[in-house]
Amino acid sequence: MIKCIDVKKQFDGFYALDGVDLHVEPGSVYGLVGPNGAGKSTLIRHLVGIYKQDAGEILINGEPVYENNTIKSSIAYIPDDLFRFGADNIDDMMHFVKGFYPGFDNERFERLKSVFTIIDPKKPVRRMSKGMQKQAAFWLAICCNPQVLILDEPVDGLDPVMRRQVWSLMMQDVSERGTTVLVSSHNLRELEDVCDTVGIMNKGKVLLERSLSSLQGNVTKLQAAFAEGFDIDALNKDFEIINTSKLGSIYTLVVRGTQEECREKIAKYSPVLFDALPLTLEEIFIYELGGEDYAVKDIIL
Amino acid sequence: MQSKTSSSDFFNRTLIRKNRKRFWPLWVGYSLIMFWILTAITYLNLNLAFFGVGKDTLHPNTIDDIYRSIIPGSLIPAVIFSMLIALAVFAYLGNERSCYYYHSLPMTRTQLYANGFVSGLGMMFVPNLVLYLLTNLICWSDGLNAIKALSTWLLVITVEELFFFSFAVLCMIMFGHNIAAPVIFTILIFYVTGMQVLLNDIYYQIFFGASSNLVSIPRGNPIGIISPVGFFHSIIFYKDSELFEAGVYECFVNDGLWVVMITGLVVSALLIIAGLLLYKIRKSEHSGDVVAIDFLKPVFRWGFGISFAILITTLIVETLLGSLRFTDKLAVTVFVLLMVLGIIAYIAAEMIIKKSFRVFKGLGRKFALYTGFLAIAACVLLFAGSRAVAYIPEKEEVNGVTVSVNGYMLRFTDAEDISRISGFHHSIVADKDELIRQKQSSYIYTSNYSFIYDLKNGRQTVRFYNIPIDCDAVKGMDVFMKENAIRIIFGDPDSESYRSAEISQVDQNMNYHFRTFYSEQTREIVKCLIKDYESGYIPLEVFAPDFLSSYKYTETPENYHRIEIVRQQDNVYNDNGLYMNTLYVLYFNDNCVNTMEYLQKYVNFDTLKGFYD
Repeated sequence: MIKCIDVKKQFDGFYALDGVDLHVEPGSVYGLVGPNGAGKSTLIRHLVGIYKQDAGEILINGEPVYENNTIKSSIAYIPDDLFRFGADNIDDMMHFVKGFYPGFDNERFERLKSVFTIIDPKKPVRRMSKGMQKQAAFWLAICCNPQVLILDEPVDGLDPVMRRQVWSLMMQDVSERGTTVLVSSHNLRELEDVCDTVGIMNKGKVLLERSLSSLQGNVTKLQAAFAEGFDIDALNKDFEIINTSKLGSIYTLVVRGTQEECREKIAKYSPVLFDALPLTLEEIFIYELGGEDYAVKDIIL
Repeated sequence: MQSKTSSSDFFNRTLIRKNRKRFWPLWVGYSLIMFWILTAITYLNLNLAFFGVGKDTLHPNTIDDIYRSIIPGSLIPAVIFSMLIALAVFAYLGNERSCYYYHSLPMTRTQLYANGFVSGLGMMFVPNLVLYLLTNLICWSDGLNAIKALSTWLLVITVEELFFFSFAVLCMIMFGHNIAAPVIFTILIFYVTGMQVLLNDIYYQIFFGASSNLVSIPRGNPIGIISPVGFFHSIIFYKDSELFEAGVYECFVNDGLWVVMITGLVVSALLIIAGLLLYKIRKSEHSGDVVAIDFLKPVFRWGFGISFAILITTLIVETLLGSLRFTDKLAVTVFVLLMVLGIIAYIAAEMIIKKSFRVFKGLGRKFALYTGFLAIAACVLLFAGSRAVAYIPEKEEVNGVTVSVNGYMLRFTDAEDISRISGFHHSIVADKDELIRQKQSSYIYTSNYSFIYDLKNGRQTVRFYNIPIDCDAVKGMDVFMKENAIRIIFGDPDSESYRSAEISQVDQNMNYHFRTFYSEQTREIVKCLIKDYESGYIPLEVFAPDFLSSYKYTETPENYHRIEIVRQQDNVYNDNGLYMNTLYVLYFNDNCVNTMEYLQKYVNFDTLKGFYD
């Protein structure tokens, strides 16, 4: 559905995108994560046809996006920094959006009034809080019945109830209409619940791109205690250790491999006790980027 | 999913409607202003302004007012609103958030551009058309057929708005900042004329004889369209109108109008194409930048640097360096100022582009290239000026010479006349130091002289002097004028060059009266005036005091009638290469029997006696 091949973009000599390869399957939810300045928003602006890449290809449904009305009318985009016309209320904005997106569903718009009850249809959008503006943007975006929904920090500013409501509406679209969703967020906990695939970006590149299950299955967190005098470095023979920490006599190791493999290997070292746990997306993010000079540092100022 | 805005639906009604709704104060304001300037004024002209005057006078005056006041008066709001509406409709380009939103919509750049044009121009063209029809209806209901005059208004305003709107949109696309774009638009529309004024002024301050008078720039200014306010305005102001008697009249607009209209349309089309091409390559990420198109950045740096240097140098020379006028010291000072200010301005331009004070690193080669060019250009400017003013054409090189005495144009083509004029010119240059010394006295009267030589090689040479009226050259010139007054002032009275005449005076009750004469009548008046002057009924000092420098500061004669005669000057052009008209103010009294006899058919002099303006 969405395909980026070796996409490059330069701003004043700095490569914001430096050979991005990205693939999103139809009807899937793709989570795009990465540190600040990784190039996520830049990539998203390419995907919705705002930026034109310096090199590479960006295809949606096999067609380039830039200056392609047919493709662009099938995309709904919610940016991090929302735009609204000065005095427009939600009804005015609906009429405007309707004029561009032929799939706009009036009935759905009316039905969703009961969901977004906090939004006063007569109140100018600019007078609304950031969270309410986000709700309004969501409301309009999903009423466009898009084939592709591209979201940049979509739930930033929403209260927990509304976050869940919004995710629920989005997932309903995915399951009923096969909408493809690409979402960029720093809220990895929430992405973990909704994403099929995750791409981790750093320094203008997609470092890894996998399904969430394989990503989580391939890295394991081992917590183990050993007899006194045990040399922890001995584990290097059998494990590819990403991170090691120790609290009291308990070692916490982040290692590559499935839980079963890790259980089998660690048993050979006769630990006093051990457990193999899956990593959260947040932990994967932190440990993967640790190898890219983006580790959490213990800093005392 | 099928797009609503695919090729089958190029224009998007939603976007056009949105622009109309968002920017209603602009088009409503524009409509009201134009309603007042065109429709209301025309209605007042027909019904109230000349209460008690018959339709035979009222109707020609109404038509005349459309040409003389309403069309020029409509130009300023047209320029202002063209810029404001372009700024509003394309304002989204100057802000990242709005720019990204518009560019994420399912519309191509070409569609966004075209829809912006239709929205913006529609806000002016629709009111124009409505007001045109309404005003025609008002005139028609009064029995006046003003279609030609009103159509001229519609044509001029439409072309002008198309031009300025296209120009403003181009600026919006080139300059991605919502404040930078209108500022640069304003600078650009005056740029060429402004630079000419500044450079002329520097020349005028340094070189004795250099002309600071733009009006005398010969053969027009081929790039005048780049300073289009002056371009459009001059053409409208130089239009003529001829009024015929007995309710049968026509309005005459000279060919220059069509030249400007066609040029305006062609240049507008080029601006529109250029705007579209630039918009297609304009990167969204440059919204908010002062210069939004990469390859225009050097143009901005150089243009800003050089213009700023010339502007500030002129101001410093004008305000602080008066004591160095016409000296070599001033030339050296100007060179230093141009260099220093040019370098400062170049660095400032770089700071504006980068929005940072840290621009020195990496200036390198491009800065050296600019500085070198600036030094060479300043040297050439000063060297060329010094060479140019030292040259006075010999009579063998000259086809004709026009002398402007305090703004009045006198044309000489006779070899003997040219020789005498050249002699006066040489004597002014020879007495340069003495004349400058005398001028420094604040108690001395001075006179302005311009010499415009038409050379046989097709070029023109223009010199200007402000010199004391007591100098030998001026005295000699006055003697020459007195000897040849009629021939010099009037030339051939049968000439087609006489455009119109007007008598305007205030009567005992302080009511304003005027009478305009068309060209054929003007020629008759001129013949009568010549006859009366040659019969000795009136001395030259009173009849035509403006032509004699020695009498420049006499009082306006009392108990004399004043008549203004408009004459087209052959071989003298305005900035746009069009013939210039000169207004002659002449005085006559009741002794001038021939003139009085002719004019009394049209003017009741008894009412006006003793109250002359």
